[in-house]
Amino acid sequence: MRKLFSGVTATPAARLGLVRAVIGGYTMFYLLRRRDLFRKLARTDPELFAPVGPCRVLAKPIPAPVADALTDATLASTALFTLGGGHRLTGKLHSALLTWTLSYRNSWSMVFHSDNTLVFHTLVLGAARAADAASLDALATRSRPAPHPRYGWPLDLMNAASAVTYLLAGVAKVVGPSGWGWARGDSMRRQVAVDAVRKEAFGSHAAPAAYLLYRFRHLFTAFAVGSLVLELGAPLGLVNRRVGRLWAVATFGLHWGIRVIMGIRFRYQMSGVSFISWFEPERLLTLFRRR
Amino acid sequence: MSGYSWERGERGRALTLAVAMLGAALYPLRQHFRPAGQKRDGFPLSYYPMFSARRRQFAIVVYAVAVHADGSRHFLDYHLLGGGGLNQVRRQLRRVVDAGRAGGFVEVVAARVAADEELADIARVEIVRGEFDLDVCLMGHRTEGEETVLASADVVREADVAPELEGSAR
Repeated sequence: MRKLFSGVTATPAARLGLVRAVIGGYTMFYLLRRRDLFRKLARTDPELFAPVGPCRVLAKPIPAPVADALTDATLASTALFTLGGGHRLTGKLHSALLTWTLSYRNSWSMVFHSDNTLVFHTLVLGAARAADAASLDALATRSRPAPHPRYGWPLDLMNAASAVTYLLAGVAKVVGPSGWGWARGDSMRRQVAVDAVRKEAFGSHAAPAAYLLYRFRHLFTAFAVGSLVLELGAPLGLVNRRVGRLWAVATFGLHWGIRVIMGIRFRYQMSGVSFISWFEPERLLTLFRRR
Repeated sequence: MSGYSWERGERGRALTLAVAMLGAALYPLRQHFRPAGQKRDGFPLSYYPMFSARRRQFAIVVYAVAVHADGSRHFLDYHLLGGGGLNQVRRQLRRVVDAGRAGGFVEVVAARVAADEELADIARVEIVRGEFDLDVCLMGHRTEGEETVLASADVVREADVAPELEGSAR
């Protein structure tokens, strides 16, 4: 056990605390903006209910008022999680509620895969001592814990969970019918085209870049190779901190590229919050203090 | 490292969480080895099926069309079909059609259109299956495909039925 943890760097409690606060803040923003949408979804035709994740225990949708109450409870737990109040209890409660609420939202015939990492990250933060600093708990106890590996392993695990999700996306591409031929870019080009047609057919508008770039086949070869390198190479970022940060920045760019070409918003990733665990956000606080 | 003090069982709990989480995240890989009809996606544990789907030059999309009194047609906005965003609505519509319930669904949509004063020029709603040549659509910047009407319903507004109701009351 000691050997296993010898690779974990002693980390300031403030780093983990700030990561918790930022991810909690993002979750709050995300859920608040979708509260009405979740209420509407809870009243969708029950025939369209296709439970995923923990919601698979349900044979049919739960009554709409119960679903509403759970969404509101998730919002309340998100606030406590963000502020770091009673984290030993509220952290785990928030993890459970968020997993449930997002699973229920995804149980209506469409899974939003971009929320996967948010759930993984929250599960880790909820289980870790993520409120020993930058929190109401820390204010109440007036504790100033020294850097410790206990604040480092959650960040390493969050990074590993991110790497695994990208690895799985990369594997899905090369084990599909195109095999390694996926790198030629034809599948990606078609995917961009299908997405554009679907958007138009549902009264929305495809991204102008989809039309502009579609004729340039070689460009899609470059995009496909680039995305495969980032996805299949994601675990390499865990080996070296600098490589990890480089990977995080490149992957952040990948999501913005998808936004421009396909008009798809991976909000957690595009906001940069998804990658915060690769960095040292507490340094920003130090900079502000110096000023 | 040995200088750091840990709570009793703290490292064990951390290791258990790490093994469980990474094991669970990797677990969906097994879906790739299952027969096509038995693969099942999940949340938050996914095998990202959208990336392994075969993409061809021709794509089939099921959607809704608004038909005007003069016979002109346009794509119906997804907000009129359901809640949850474009892709969620698209999946739900596909599911409705696959379940053979397009007829009932188009009646519901037609009623929604009838209730919206801003859509007063829409006379009929159709659920159609369109086959699109992606090269033609993207190169020509036009979304036109070969359409098959799966179900349709006339948009009946209160103003249309009111005279009849008044007549029957007399």
